[in-house]
Amino acid sequence: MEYILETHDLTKTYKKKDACRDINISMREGEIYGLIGRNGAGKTTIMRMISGLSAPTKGSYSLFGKEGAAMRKMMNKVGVLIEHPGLYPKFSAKDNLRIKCIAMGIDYKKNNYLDGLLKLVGLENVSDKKGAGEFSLGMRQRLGIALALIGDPSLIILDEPINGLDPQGIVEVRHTLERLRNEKGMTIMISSHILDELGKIADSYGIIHEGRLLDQFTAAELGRRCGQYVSIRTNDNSLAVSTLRKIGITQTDIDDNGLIRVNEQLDNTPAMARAIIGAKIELHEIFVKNVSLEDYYLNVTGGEHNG
Amino acid sequence: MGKVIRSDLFRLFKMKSFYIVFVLVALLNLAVGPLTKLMYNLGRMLAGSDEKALAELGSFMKEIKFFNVLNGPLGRVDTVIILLLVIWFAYADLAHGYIKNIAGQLSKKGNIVVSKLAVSGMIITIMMIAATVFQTVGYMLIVKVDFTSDLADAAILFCVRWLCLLAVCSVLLLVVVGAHSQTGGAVVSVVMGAGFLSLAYLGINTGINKLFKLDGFDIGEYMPDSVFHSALTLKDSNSIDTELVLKGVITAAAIILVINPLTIRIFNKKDVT
Repeated sequence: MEYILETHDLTKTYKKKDACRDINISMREGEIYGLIGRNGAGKTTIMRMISGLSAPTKGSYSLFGKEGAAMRKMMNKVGVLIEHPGLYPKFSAKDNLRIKCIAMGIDYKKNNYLDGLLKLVGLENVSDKKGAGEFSLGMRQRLGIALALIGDPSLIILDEPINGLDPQGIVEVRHTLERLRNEKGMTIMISSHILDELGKIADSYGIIHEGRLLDQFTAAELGRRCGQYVSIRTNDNSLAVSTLRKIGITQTDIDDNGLIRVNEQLDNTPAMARAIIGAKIELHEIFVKNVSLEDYYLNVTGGEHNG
Repeated sequence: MGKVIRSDLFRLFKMKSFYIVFVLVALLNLAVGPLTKLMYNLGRMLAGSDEKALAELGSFMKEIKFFNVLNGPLGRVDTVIILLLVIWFAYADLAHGYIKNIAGQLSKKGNIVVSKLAVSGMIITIMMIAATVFQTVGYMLIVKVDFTSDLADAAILFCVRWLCLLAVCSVLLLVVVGAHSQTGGAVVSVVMGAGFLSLAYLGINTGINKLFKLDGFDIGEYMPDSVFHSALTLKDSNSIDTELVLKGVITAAAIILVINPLTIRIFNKKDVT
């Protein structure tokens, strides 16, 4: 089984409007897959279908190499946190966990199972008398993650799990997810608006825009596609490019913002600057640019995002 | 399936509203006997020396048969409260979104509906037993309760009423779980639980009797809400009206067998939100 999850032309239509269409995602076992897209792009719809909460209008998907009824039998190996966590507000954190444990046939009394789960998400000190309705948004998110982890799922699907968490909480969730992947071999699909954070943990990415999967790539591919480059602003780009050629720099582009992009000799910016100034061209700026996931996302979707 | 039912039962017994409803049902039923006596005494007091009125009042019963206690263990208020509890329970996981944590992981999503019906059955069993026990205790405070009456008949009465109430619950689940309408469920529970549909049945009876030139057709004899609230005994009050019981059982069973699969079908088709 090469892929733990594969979707084939997955489409969901609401009232004749496609929330997403022809989505083809492939996720390898043990990887963290980041789903990126603005609000309403279709991320949650895709995650809901994969989680079995919503039926596709068209297309299909396979989990653990199985489809249909055989796949349904394996759905207990999938943990989900979709949108805001679904919790009984009057019940304590442990009671919320107990209810799912019983439904899934998990013996929660063994080996302090619930304490272990709560510790994993940093809720070990929460009073058992406090109802989940009294929790902060961050605490509710953590409890939602703990619920998703019940039964040691092989695949967990987390929709905006770090929403509402403070910086410390975000780091803790990141470490938790890394630990789950590294120590338990869990495969994780995660969506988030915080692209910098996603960039730190994901192994693969899928960019969703207006219901379409625009791009799908690994972290290594992202590095190759973007990586670093030298950005140069002058008053005469064509003369500057020909000047750079004279000193052996040929891998140049002019980007949409009218900046020269040099993809080689990144440690040789002083020589580039000297050559441009020596050719009597006004050099407004020259610097080495690190392309982030956010930059790449904006480049692919061709605009702003609201994350 | 068993796991989902166990999980729902755990949730039920953690709900404060369950215990509040239990106490209300217990108190309301405990008061039935003493209140009957109180009303009788008030009647006597108001009658004063009016011999005709006193004759109409007669003497207060010296004993009551357990069979007769069972012939009407739940009042309309109790029934509405219990049905509202069924709605709160059945709608809670939808309202709070907890259902998203479980629905996708079950091999059969419809098990959630079956579990809710099973737990509804448990709720009405507990409440009906509580009502019977506390009403009996209430009567024991004022008169002798005769337990020598036919217990088999008493058990039949209990089961028939239970089945009728379960049929009403399956209608409620169709509205609450199938149509995702808690308000609709509350309306249905008040209308059916309090027996307000009997007014509609009167109109239907008139129409059917006229249309088919019948005499004495009563749709209420077939409807679970109506059968639930009816005395299911013959005129002597000591033996079961078998015909009425059979009509009630068949219709209630039919309603459960038709409506429950329909609710499952609708629930399966709907996205879990």
